[in-house]
Amino acid sequence: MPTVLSDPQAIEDFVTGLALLGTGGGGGRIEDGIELLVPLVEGGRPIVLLSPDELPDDTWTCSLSSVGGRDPDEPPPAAELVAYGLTREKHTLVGRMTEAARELADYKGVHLGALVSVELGSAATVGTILAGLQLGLPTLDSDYAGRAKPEVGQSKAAIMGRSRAPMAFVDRWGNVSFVKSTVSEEMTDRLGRMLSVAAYGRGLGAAGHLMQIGEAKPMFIRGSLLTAASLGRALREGRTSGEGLAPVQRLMGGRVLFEGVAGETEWHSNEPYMFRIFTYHVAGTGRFAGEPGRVWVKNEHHIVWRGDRLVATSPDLIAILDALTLKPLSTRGDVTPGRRVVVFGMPALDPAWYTPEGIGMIGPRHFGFDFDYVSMDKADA
Amino acid sequence: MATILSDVKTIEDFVTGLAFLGTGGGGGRLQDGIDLLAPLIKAGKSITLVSPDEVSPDTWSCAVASWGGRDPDTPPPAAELASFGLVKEKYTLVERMVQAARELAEFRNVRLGAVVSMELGSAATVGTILTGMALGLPTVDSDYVGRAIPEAGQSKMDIHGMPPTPMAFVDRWGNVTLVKSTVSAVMADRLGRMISVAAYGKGVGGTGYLAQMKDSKRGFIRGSLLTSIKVGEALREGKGQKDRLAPLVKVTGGRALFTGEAVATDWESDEAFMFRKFTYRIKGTGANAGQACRIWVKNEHHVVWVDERVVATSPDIIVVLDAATNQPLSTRGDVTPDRQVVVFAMKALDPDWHSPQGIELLGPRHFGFDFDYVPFDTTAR
Repeated sequence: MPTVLSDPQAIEDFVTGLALLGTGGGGGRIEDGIELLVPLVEGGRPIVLLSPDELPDDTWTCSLSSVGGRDPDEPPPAAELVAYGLTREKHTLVGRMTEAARELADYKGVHLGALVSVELGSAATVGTILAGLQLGLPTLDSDYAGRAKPEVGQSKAAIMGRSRAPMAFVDRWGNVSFVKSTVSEEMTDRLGRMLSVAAYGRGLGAAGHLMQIGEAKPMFIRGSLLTAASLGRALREGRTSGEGLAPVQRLMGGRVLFEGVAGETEWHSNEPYMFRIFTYHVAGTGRFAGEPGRVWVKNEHHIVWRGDRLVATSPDLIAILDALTLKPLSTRGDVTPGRRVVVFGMPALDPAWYTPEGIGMIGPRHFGFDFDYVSMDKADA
Repeated sequence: MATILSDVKTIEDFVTGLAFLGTGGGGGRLQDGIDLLAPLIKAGKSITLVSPDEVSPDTWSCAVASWGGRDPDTPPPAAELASFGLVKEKYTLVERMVQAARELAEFRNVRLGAVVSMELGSAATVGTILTGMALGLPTVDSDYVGRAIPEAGQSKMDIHGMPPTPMAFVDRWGNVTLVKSTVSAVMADRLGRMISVAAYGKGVGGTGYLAQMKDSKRGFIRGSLLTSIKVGEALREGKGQKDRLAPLVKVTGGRALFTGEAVATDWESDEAFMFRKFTYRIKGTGANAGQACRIWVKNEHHVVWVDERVVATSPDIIVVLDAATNQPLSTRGDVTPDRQVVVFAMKALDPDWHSPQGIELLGPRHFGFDFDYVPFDTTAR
């Protein structure tokens, strides 16, 4: 049965849940996603999410996302942009995603019947839904990661050996490129990022995973968009009832890993257009008083330490919430010094992430750390 | 009539002439081109150059070139390459060009009947010929520039409004990227360069200007490959003569601008994988004793000053020759301090370069200088 989101409250819950599952990333802040979708439902256009089973197996789908990184603080000199003919922005971010879907379908000569969000995140998933509305295509209640992730090649599809290429990339100026085939998913990601550098960033629309639903089904994290809506509602209920994270735990399990006051953000890499890599330092409060906490970030949260003890790593889902409002905080400047935060861990939505391939793809060793994935329960013993 | 090159001396003349018309660039050193072609000739193969008129008007051709810039002095760490799956080089430079031609033809679903050298240069043109031989296709006795150029978009095709896109790029690892359409030809160049950065340089095979002969004819500098042979002959014949440059002057209509001794190279931009930008300083000898010459380089030679006076600029062809051997010197480290050199200039091969559009594309203002094109003839003393 299709899921219909038809009122602002449902939208707010949905986007909040996407931000929670986005583990700090997923392309933007909660407000951005809410501001894009609420006017539509207020204008009488409900958001319809279809189960993959509601469409024939030979329906063509592609995944959509935006690719980019940290934009530099200063825009490039206007004269430099002019030299490349980059004078007028042609597409909004959603417009770029829409065009990328069109270009990929046109390149391969297929007719798309539905869109899939490549990951969960307030901007990534909302952008996919909006591109679908532009194209007159439904978005499926499924994604390829069950979370947000920093690199193109981290997905259940990749775990199952399916490359995201060929991919179409469209930048804000209207330049169109295809990455046809690569030696690795990491290389696909790197090429996409360089195409973003060429366009001076601000996000490229990217389409990939061109497949028929029958082929794609085993690679889906099924029902993940509906899960996001339920989690957003649970966060709201926890806040209004005073139960805190208990309603979320009833749905997802998981536990509070740390509570404290945010301190400094220690940047490791700040290269323009590339990844945001840094460590949050958090001073423990309450039952964690006197303990320092750290969270390592590559666009998303991936590793949590309490003192020197490792307490959680990806592929588990690590969220940072405002301690008072339970709002999931993004890695785009939301965790400001002095803010009271809760670090919360939940199991990944799909068991595929706990296979050796899944852990190899997004566990700590993938990010260059010299230790293995630890399951939250063992770590907290 | 088709021209067959079948002896080593002709090959040497040809490549020498290509290096001359390459104005310092064109992708490599003189010897690289000879080393690639001579073994084929010795093994009994011959090289066929066809006149555009010998090919039917609906024959498809593409331009072939290698993309890249200054490679860094030290290769990237092996672990970094491995993290992107870049472990084993799959293609030689020529194979990358061959694959890029195949990919472009497949992308547009056309059958190629000939290849065209993008520009004149020892590596660029020889690479095109070898690509043609690998594909069983003749090379047209024409190119799109009549010299070498630093950026895509500086060709007679561009003067006539025919864009380089769609373009295909294949790197040494086997990654394939297609640039479908861009807002400007320089933007296509920028994307190609970023694709090269993604592959850690060493040259990406690039193809573009896919067109049927009836259309591409408008962009041809006709007979430019045979012209290269004549220039090479003139340089060789001059070697034993009292006036070493006499045959060259006769063939090209150009003249020596300056004779002197190389002093230093002042680097402006040394950014890895990007352009080689610098200024040569040359101290006058003989007739030029007491004078100082500077040559500004962006991959190729573009502006010559004697003392403070601009005496020649692109689009005219500016060459630095070894004073003793008449060897055209490349901007890849050939102009070493103390080397005795002659700076020579001739008019661009095609009158289109002296049109307002031609001068705008390749004249000094294009490169950011605050002065106009100077026809070198009028500065003769």
